[in-house]
Amino acid sequence: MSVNVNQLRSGAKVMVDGSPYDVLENEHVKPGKGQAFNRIKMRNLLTDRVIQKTFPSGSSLDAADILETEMNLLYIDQSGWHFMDESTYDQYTMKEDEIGDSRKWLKDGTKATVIIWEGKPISVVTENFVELLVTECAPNAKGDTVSGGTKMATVETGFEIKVPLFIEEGDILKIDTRTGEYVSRAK
Amino acid sequence: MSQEQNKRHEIKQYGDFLQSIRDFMRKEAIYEVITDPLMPRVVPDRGVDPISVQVAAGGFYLQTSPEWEMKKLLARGSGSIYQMVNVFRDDLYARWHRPAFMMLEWYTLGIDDDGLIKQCLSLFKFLGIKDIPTILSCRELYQQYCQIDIIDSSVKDLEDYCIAEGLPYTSLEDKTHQSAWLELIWVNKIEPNLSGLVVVKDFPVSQCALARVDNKPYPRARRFEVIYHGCEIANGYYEELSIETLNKRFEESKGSCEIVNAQDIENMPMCSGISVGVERLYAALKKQAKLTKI
Repeated sequence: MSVNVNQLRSGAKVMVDGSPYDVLENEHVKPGKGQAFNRIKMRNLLTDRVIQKTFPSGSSLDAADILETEMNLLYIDQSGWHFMDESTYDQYTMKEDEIGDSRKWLKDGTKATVIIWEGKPISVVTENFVELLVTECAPNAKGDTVSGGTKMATVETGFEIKVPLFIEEGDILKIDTRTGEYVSRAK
Repeated sequence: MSQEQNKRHEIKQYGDFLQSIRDFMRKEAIYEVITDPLMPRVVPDRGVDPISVQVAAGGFYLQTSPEWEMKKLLARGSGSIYQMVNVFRDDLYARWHRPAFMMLEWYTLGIDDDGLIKQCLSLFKFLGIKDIPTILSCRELYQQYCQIDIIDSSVKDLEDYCIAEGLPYTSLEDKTHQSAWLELIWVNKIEPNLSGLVVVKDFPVSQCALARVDNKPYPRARRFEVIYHGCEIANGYYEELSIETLNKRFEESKGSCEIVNAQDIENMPMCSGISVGVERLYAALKKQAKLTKI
């Protein structure tokens, strides 16, 4: 199926030079010397790179065969991250480069949105907030009650994040996955 | 401030801005005119689509610019004049576009494009745009951003460049015209990279429109554009005066609308003229990244 560039809205998925892209913005441009153009800002779903291309109006692009499916991470092993689509029970294995930065927040049982292109998983979008256990951090020194101070803590997925001084091993943290920042101690 | 006070303040600010434009024109001895916005015929211009209306008096086009009526006044001895009015084009509502927008158009007698660039920049400074302008020729810009010399480039050379750079050319109209390829390169490779206040002068002859063409030191159309952070806010011409040349150009770029006769402006004196998108200029002044409704 092909789509006229005039009709592309943000969120549309299209094929450009053999790769699937997510449309972020579409601007009508008319320099006044002839044809109008559509300036399209879009994100490559394989590399995450954002590009901008300006198409003559009337151009068309093929729609990308993209499915966004909520899945459950079953387990992680040497062969990769194993997800299951809970409605179809289909399982998908993803490699580290396909998981990208999301690997910092994924543990067994995590729910995430897996992007499937032509039947193959290509990337994972985690929920905006995740809760993870602190497995390692410096003890809370007595009297260290000054607000604003931070230290590093390692969470159960193996990644380090900046936390306030009162955090201790065994605490569960709420983390914003979009910024990678500590939000609060989970109840 | 309450919502009403805010609105009142906003309206006053915009009114002050319009008044400043009029003050500048008065200072430069350029007089205000208001001409008939209903046009029985159009000045042919690719990329500018007129809106036609039917009234009891007959069929008309809403002015896409007050250019022709003002040129008729110039030909009858008006001297330097300006007009600030709404114009209409069959277009979309977009970040920098509206089917109806305000245009400031003025003509100054006895100056060429370089003289008009100076006058235009002095207006912008008078209104409070503080950026230092960069003045470049079209040729320099294509050289700088694309390493191509537009003077020596054939349609084939430009097509090869677009293919090599992966530019989307499939739906380009007028593939046999140099201008179409230059536009595709412009919107992809040059325009998005222009920041600050830029004046582009000396256009390729294929984009001369109603500007004079000079062959020295190389073939160039004596027109210019003023661009602010990638958005065109003004478009000026050292006006072509030859009736024969104008009629020939009209014939070449004519579409389906009935066109004006260049004879209308016989005896127009040597002058340069410019149109400025008033709302775009206001956005530039207020550092807004899109048009806003007052």
